[in-house]
Amino acid sequence: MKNNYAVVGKPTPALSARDKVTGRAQYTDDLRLKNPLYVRILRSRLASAKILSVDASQARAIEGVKAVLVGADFTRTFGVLPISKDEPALARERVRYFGEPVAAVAAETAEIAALALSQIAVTYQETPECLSMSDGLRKTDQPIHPELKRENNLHKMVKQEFGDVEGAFKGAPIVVEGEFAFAPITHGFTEPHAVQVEIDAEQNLTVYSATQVPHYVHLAMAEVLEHPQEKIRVIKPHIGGGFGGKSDPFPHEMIAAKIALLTGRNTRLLLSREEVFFSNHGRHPTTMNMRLAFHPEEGLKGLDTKVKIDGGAYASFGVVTTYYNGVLLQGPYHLPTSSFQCERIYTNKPMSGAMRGHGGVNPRFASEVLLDMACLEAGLDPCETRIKHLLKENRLTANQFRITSNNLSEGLRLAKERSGWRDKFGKLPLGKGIGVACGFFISGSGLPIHWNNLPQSTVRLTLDFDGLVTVFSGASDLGQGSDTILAQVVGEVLGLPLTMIRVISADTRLCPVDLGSYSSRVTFMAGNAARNAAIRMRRLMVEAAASLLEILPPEKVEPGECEDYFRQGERAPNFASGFLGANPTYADGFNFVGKEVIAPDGRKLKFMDVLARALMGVGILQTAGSYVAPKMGGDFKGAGAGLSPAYSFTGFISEVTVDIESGFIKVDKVTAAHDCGFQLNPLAVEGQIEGSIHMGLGQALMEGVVYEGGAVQNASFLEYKIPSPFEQPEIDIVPMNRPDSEGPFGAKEVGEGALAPILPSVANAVYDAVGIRLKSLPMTPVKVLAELDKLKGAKK
Amino acid sequence: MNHLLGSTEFVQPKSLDDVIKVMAQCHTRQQQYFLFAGGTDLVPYLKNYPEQAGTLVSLSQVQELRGVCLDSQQCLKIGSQTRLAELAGSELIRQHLPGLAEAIAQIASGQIRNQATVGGNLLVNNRCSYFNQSPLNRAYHDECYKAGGEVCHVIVNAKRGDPVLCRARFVSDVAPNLLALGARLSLLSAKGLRHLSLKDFYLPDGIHRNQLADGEILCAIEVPISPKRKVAYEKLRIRKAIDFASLGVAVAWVGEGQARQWHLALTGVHTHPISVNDVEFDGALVTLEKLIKTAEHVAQPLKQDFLSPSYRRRMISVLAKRALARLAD
Repeated sequence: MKNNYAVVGKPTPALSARDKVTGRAQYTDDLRLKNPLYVRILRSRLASAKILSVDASQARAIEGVKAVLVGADFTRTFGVLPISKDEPALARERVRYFGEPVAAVAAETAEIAALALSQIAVTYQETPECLSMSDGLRKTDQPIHPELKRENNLHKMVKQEFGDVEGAFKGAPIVVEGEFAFAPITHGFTEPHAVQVEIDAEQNLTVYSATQVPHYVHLAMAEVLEHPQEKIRVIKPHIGGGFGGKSDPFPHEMIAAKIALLTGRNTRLLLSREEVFFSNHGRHPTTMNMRLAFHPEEGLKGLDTKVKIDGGAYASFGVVTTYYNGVLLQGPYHLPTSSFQCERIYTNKPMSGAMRGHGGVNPRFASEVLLDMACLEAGLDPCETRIKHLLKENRLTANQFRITSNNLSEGLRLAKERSGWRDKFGKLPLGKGIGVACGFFISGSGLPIHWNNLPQSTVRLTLDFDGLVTVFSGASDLGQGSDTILAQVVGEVLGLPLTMIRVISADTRLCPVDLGSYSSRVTFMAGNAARNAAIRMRRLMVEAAASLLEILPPEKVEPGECEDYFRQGERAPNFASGFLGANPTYADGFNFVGKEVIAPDGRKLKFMDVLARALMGVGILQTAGSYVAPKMGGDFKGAGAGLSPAYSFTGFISEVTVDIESGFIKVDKVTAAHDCGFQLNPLAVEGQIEGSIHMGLGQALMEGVVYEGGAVQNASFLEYKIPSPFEQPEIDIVPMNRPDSEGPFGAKEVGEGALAPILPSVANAVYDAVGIRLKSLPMTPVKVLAELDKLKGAKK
Repeated sequence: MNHLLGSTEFVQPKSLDDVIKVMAQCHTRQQQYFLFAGGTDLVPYLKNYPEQAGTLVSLSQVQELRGVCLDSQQCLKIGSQTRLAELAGSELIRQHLPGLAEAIAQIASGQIRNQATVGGNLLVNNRCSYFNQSPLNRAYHDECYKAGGEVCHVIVNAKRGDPVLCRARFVSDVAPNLLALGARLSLLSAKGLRHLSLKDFYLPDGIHRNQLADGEILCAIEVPISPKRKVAYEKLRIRKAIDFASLGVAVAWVGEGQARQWHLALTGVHTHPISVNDVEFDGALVTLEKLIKTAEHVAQPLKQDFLSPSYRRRMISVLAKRALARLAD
């Protein structure tokens, strides 16, 4: 795709890269507030118990201890979803998981705080532990959440059905099915959770926190502390990864802020790695039964899925996860009928939550393995079959997802060629195999979790006398490079290099509301808001240029009917409301390039001269832009889950070596096709694909939180096995760059969708290599050998 | 460091004599001490057991314990405080025992090998998933024998008085290699120097793990060398870096033809390293298979590791044969 872009589309190192690699970047715990109190949390040593008493008198008596908090100091519970605020900042009356915060101490030094923790006497009365999903579905008179008034520990059950599923199965020539199991995994971000709170004499709080969504922390904190919203400011400093594990408001944030209010002192709190494991919020442990009805010519006819997910002790994002396990099966192939049922069950374990590829990764594994089985049973090439049945563009799925662009057929065809699939599939020697799998993912959720009239993203720009543009956005750069993307978008529209642009993000005082960095929404939504704001800024400059040139300014460009605009959800630009549209055009006849402004008649002006004219009488140029997803979807219950203004599509071809003596799987090479529309920053795209593959391989091959009863037995990076660099395969990324109609410059997401297909592509390659179907993750050497033994036994 | 580790004192003696004196003083004062070599095993231990206060005796300034040299009797002498990275990079080791250098390269990570010492690796504490835990995590269970309690969570009917009380597993990667090479240790205390074959050094209990006496320090390791003495090591672990050995297998031989002496040594599958040897008969593979059978009989892999006991047992023969193939190259 040819274009004349000067800034976007160029491989661009992250704006913060130099500061990070040279150690200058300040992370939350690096900040030095004046004279802070050190806060430490006492955690439950039991997974299920009543708290009979908490005696902190000895702790309070220690010199240097300034505050001790217990559950009774908080009256309100919280949670990221307004429909399930079930988590207390400190446990009251009962503890629901091993490691749950029970009390907190603030002291002059970390050592005094640690000593004081050991002096708090908690008397527990043990209650029966519910540690498995089957336990959780059994009748009990002591449910983990009595407020739900249920006789078991079911948290949420979702059922959806589209089309005549049973009919599809009856008529299908091929039906394959499987039972799948997925170990609990957790994010493994580098920086542990950390928070620091600064308080002034007027009880204004500035909360520095390693969070993906400052706005949610802001809202939750105001509610939990019963402190006015306008007296709370949340700032995210540089952050060492999130992957979904920092997208909820957390107890430690509430605790540190509460102590600041009580003592009038600044506070700081850093979790240990072990505490991060106890906080979890990782991918739900899952069991899944799935059936696929398949027709050799017509493709997928029906999919029937029954899922159980282990939520742990609290809700977190669980209701969304429950839906996503079903709705993220609606692509990437044409699927006329489907039904799914998903149950989320509370257990006495650290809570599960959102993790990269949220809710879509495990069902993707199951469905792609089944599709592989169906293709082989039908004697079809799994790669060609997938290409043939991919969702077509500008269509609705059976559950009324609006599919705008989908360029995967071209990408997967390229991947097939480049990987040498034709000469390898089914033809490699024993122990070598090749496999394929696809996936799709949302570019941000079409519906916000809080029902209000705010746009999902708003970006504010200022242009000051020195020519510097400042971009204010509430989105969190988590290392994925969202600040860089916003700067690129603004730079392109205004014809300015990145050196003339600064980004101030993730500060709830300075930045307009943004729903934060999760569900792969920032590039699409904040990027569109930035484009809107920059076009407005450009107009101010064009008007000033016209005035200098003594010509009439061009009329406002009416974007009008976009040819690619898809009928459902169309949202015409509205100048009255200030929305210019998704990916609006800015063909005004002027050319902004290299700090020059070139008029339609070819006359050239210096950007700074135009700016001087524009600033006359106003002093500073300010604009704002926003993004609101179009109205989409059906009107059935749960129709909003998984709706997105655009979807990414991914296809991976993996090549593996299986050591038949030891059972070790080595992934040798991955050929990756990911349709993220136009690549705003190809360097970031490459990083996201490589990182997704690395992270996905962890779940595929080795990761799993091990519970011994209710205790996490491998709460360290030594025993929780994240792949080392030695496990990373060679990766060939297929060039793909076709714009989507509504993304900023045509961009879609790449942060999460690129994860899910790696797991089943490896499993399918293992089948090609040695003929075993692994349906339980992680695919450890122990399981591989056990399956190989079964195969040998069957052959005898 | 004191507040972090709960220790009361940190001393840095400059000579071996001073180390011996410090240990004697601690003994007189009935004060616990820890010899602090690389610290890569000791520091995580002390973080988990902060109540283990004592004197940390740093060995980092004791130059006489560091380095590799060839002594007159065709024997390599390795100072116990030689860092693993130094050892693997040493010209003498690369020339005479390239198999040992390859084995060391499989330990932990580059950063840890820069810090950890060969002596520390030989004395690395035995590991168990119930023992290597923080105080909070241990509070979920009753404290185990090795942590000072009265129960074993791995062998539930273990009781005091049993010949082997604790089943925490031995994990040193260096030990099986040096065992297979027939290494000897020199140990120094106020009573003087003594020499001990590495084979006789280890004890079968996860708590009382070896013969190192109170007040004694491991000074050096002596490894006989000859062109006909070779070792190859295979390490089983889920990741190719960082992880301790789920199983490690060293195969070595000395001499040639019918007189060839074979050694097979294992780590990771018992409370101590397993070492078996024999003279060659009926060719290489048959000899090795006999040794494997003996070693498998002794091995006791338990449920303390990422990989299952039966799997680790099965891998003994697979790894041994792979080591042989590399040896024969």
